[in-house]
Amino acid sequence: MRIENEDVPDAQLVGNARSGDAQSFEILFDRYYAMIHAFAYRVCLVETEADDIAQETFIRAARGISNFRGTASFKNWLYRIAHNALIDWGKKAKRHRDKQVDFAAELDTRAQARTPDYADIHFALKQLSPDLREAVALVYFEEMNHREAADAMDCAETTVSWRIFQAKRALKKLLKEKEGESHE
Amino acid sequence: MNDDELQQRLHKLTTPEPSEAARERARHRALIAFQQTGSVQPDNSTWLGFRWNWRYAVALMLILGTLPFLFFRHPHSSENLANDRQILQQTEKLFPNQVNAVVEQNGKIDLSIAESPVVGSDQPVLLLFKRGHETIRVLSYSGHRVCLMLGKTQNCFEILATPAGGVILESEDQVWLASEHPKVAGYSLRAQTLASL
Repeated sequence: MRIENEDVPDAQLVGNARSGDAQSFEILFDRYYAMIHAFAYRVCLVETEADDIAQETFIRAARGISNFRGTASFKNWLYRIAHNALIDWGKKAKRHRDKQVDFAAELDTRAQARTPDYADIHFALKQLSPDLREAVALVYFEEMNHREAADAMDCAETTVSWRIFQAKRALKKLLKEKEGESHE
Repeated sequence: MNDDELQQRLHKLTTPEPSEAARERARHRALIAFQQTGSVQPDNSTWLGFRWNWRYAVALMLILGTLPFLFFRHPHSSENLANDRQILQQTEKLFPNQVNAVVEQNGKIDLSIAESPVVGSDQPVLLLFKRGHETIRVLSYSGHRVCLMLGKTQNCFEILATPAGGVILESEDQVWLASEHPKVAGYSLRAQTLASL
């Protein structure tokens, strides 16, 4: 049976997918791929890496959906998987620092080619650790509350609050410095 | 700068639209993974997270009975590597998303199974540890942590497959590149991913 209605609730699609319906899984893919890609980009700040992380997230989701119990929303479950994929990315990146530098250089060029504001924000975010960037991405861009972000990041709510506090302090300082540079 | 101003500035970080090629590649690979997993809704009669009935019992007996024979082979032929992948796939069917590693050591097969399902990697990896006539074969996945008795000490490693198809082992304080055929606790290490099979 072909599913025509793109407004079918996630829960129904997940139920169908758990029973082996590939078309339902594909609708979920279409519904959330861009969201996960954007989240991955905001944390890793490298477009090609965001492609890989988003792909890995959906491969893992495909492998794990039969075990998805529905205690969290499907969307938050995907964020949790993306978080784990980002941790693996971080470990790989640590071992490929040279490659990462190349990516960073490539990205710097792209960032400069966009608006000055984009370049400044990109620069400031890049100075944060991935943990802090992820907290910022979930709370400010994905508009999660600290509890939801903590679920996605598999940490305590207080940890998210502390990371947001640190990130805000660092970002304000870095952006202020950038403003100072541009006025000189 | 107050919090509202910071938020406004953060939202100037626009994200790039994912390319059509990347999206289609991801869709294709995710659907393959979906079909390979053969999603089945678990019922309530589960043990360690999988449905326990006579079919699984028979399959488990067959696998456990066959594993030792499959392991006693020349370790490097492509046929054997295909068998390795098959072993992992069959074990994975019995313990969906719970297989941490299949280890053959001193003629004994150990299955390392997680207590609850974990979302794992799709990059299967073969590790071979050799010392004299002793060979330890480990089938696992990139991103998984495996603990082995090497000699008289227990050694725990995290396995990572590289984008170039290589394998890295990482312990608390050391990193080994399998491509350099390093010694690990006195054992020579060879490793490769099974993904390309």
